Amino acid sequence: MVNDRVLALARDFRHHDEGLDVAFEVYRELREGCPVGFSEHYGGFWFVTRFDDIHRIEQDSETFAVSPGMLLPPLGNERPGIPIDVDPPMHGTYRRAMLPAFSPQQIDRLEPMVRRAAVELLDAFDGERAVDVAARYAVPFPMVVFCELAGLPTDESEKLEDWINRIFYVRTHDYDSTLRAAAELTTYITSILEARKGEEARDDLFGRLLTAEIEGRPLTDEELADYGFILVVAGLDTTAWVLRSSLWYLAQHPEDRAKLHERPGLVVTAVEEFLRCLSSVQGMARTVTRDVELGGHRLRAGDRVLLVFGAGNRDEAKFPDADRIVIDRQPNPHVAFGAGIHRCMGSNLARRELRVALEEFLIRYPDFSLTPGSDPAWYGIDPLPLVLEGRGRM
Amino acid sequence: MVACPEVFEADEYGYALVKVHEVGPELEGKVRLAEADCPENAITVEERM
Repeated sequence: MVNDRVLALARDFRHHDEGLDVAFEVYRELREGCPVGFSEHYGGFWFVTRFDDIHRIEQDSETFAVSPGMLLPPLGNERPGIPIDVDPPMHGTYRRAMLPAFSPQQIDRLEPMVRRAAVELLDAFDGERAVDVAARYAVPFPMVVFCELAGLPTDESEKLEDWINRIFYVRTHDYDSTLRAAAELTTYITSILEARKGEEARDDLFGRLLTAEIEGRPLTDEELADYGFILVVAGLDTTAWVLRSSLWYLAQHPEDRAKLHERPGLVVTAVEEFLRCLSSVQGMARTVTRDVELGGHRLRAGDRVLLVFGAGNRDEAKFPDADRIVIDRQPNPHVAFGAGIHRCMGSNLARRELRVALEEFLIRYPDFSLTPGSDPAWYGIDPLPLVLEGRGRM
Repeated sequence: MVACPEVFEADEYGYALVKVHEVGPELEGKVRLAEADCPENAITVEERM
């Protein structure tokens, strides 16, 4: 039986804001006592916390659709984002149009640019001992990479940062601000794409969007804007968060820093482990298309269901010693990027960005720690003040 | 992460393809890891008797 305590945790469950302070303890209690439950936040939603249930639902896109949107609460965009808020058959058509931009081969070609972005940001605080690595490394790094990749002017990144901030972090308590930010971002993307239409085709993300063909025709202006919107919001703070949380963890674990220093090749598995345990996307939502039984509950058509990736990724049934970060853990089939047809399109890029950014950071700073007296949260993109002990530029 | 490039490659969309359908014992560990690591449960390793 579900006891009152667990039931109260379920009713109050949320994967944003203060919910994240206690997320890992709550995940454990819910996985055991109430693996599928109902929360009263965000208009009311079911949540699923066990790995196998999450995985199964991800494979059943007919019963568990994404329309009207995958994000809970939504991101304030007026129309469904492409491709993430779109169901089959159009979903696959849209997705195929941009997938080649994120293939492993393409990411290999981008690596020198990604590394240069990391090195330049590190050079900018070389020699300083007390540094907020969130503001000066984790947040600007994916921004620089994305602007290069998309062909966006980098001198406007402050505007982008403000919109993204209001779209992601303000939506739980001031949705009007989120709506305005989403509208402004859409207008901005539209203006960039409009200006580019008259120019010669360039080989960047927006160039690909402009020349993409679906069903034998180019994308309409609305499709361009809705695809561009998702490309911009999906790849910035998600990666920034994980880079920051990776450094947050490493600052407190000298034994793992030493291990990575000794065997830099382990950064690859460490990145997977940070994604598994400290990821930015703690959950994504679906909508039930027909009445269905789930974990002893009767879900009705139209109900919203949150797949709590963060909880599934710490499920003991799938990952031994699941709450412990083991930087050389293998295998590590986590669902930080989701699974099934809606699996993150940018996962190859995110992984490469994280690996390169950590490699370059660790080369310069084999030793670093949290600034004494600071107690930064594991999540988000707020300041992460560190004391850097390394030797700086080599 | 590309596990076991001797056996798997990615197509232009990033979908994994199997290049070699039979491997010797020297690659068994790597393909078994790929099987366990695949987030889509898309890889099955079978033993030939």
